[in-house]
Amino acid sequence: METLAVFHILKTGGTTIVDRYKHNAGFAYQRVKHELVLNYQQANQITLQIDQDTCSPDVVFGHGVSFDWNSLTDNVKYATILRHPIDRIISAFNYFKLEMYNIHDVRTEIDFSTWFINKSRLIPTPVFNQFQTFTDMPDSCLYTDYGLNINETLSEQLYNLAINNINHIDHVLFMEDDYVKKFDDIMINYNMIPALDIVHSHNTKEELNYIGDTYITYEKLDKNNTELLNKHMKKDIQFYEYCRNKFK
Amino acid sequence: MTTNNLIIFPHCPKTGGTTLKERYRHNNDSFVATDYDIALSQDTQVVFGHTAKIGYYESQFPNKNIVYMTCLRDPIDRMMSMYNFYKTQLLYMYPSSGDVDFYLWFINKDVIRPFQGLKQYEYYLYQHVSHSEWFDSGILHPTHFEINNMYTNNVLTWDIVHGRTYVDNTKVEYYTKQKNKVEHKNMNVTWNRVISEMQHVFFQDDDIVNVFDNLMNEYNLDLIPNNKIIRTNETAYDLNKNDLSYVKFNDLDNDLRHMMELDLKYDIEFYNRCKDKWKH
Repeated sequence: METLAVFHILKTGGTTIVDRYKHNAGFAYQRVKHELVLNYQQANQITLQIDQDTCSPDVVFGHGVSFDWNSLTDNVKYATILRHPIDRIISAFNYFKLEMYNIHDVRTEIDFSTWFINKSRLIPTPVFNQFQTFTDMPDSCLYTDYGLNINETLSEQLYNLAINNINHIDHVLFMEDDYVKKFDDIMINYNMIPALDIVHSHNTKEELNYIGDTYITYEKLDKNNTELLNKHMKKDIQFYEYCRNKFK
Repeated sequence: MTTNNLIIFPHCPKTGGTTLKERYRHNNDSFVATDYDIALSQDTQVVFGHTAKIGYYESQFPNKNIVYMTCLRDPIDRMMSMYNFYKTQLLYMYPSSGDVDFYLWFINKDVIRPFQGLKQYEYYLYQHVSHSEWFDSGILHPTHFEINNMYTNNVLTWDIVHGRTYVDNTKVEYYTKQKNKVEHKNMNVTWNRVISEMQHVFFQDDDIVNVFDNLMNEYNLDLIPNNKIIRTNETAYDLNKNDLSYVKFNDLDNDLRHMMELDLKYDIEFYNRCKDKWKH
């Protein structure tokens, strides 16, 4: 039986897919590299350590998915969902503020630029470049000079690795397209039944409003912040555009 | 008069060291501030700086009498100073930056840019040349970098009945216990193997300029202080220029003060042990 392993990149719509399919018996969630959760978020949820003897799920989805599945199962295909990097990073900033409230009961006052230069390390929710997911350094920090500049050499190396590896992904979807529908089409091959009523999970904007905070959009950022964003996101945008041209 | 003494002064951030450094470094070629990447020589009398290593210079200068000294500060005052200083550094880099709330800074203080804030004992631990080897060999608890787990989403649990995630206090307690276990062990290693290398430890609430001047004389160092420099960093002034105030411990609400005291438990114990040993 073939396994579909889906790389879940933070803020690319993956939670909606998980919620839509988690009730299926062959669906497993992989939050971290070494653990597999079956019957995810259900009364009979169980967590397994991943090794060669672990059962091969029909579909495994999560932030912990990697190309390790090449050696964990005989027959694997890969999928992922990408999102425009600017939209994704704005979403991640707003989500960070919401997580500070949900986990710590604190309405943080952090401004965009401070969060941005620290985004790869701030708890509770670190966020990295989208392209780093497809490298052997998915959670490495690429900044130098106290956050002022990017390590261009390392960034270029990882970008090239990501370009090479994305070509090993069988299904690359884009959040901006009708990605839920497209994902449903793929899942038919794995006998997965969607919960049709679930089409959208997170609603960061509404939840921020509920706690008296405001969802920040790109348009609301000042010139300094948009310049910072565009300067530091170049490689991730380049990667996204490469994928759009290749996989759309 | 030529001395065979070589003073090594690891400068733990926010303990008053910049004043001492600025008082001496301009007039004296033999006073080497490590921040400026100046090569050491046989004429060097003082190595002073955040990056001054403990246990390194003995092999570089086998004929010298190596003397370690440093200055400590009350951990709560020091942490508040770090928070306020952090904001000045952020504004220096990005003048349009906003304020950063204490809680967010505190739970991220050991990683946040542009200025990271370690605990005092952690600073000395990481200055020792053997600390990596100690982590590898199990002398230090290898999971030291995980001591902030109770501030991460590892504490969340899915509530099956209500279909939502919530902060699981059992997990918070577990990670807090783990943190205390790790910090207890690593602070003790710092106490037994690192700070014990110091011949002189003095305290920021003493007259540090006078204490340091006297030590320079005691070791017959041929150095001339700039007597006009008795104080340097003006964090409060820099904050005021940006319409921000210096936040003191008593300005924090009760929850934040309590969190800080719990988090700094072993740093406070480390400081108190040092006071018992060295405070005259």
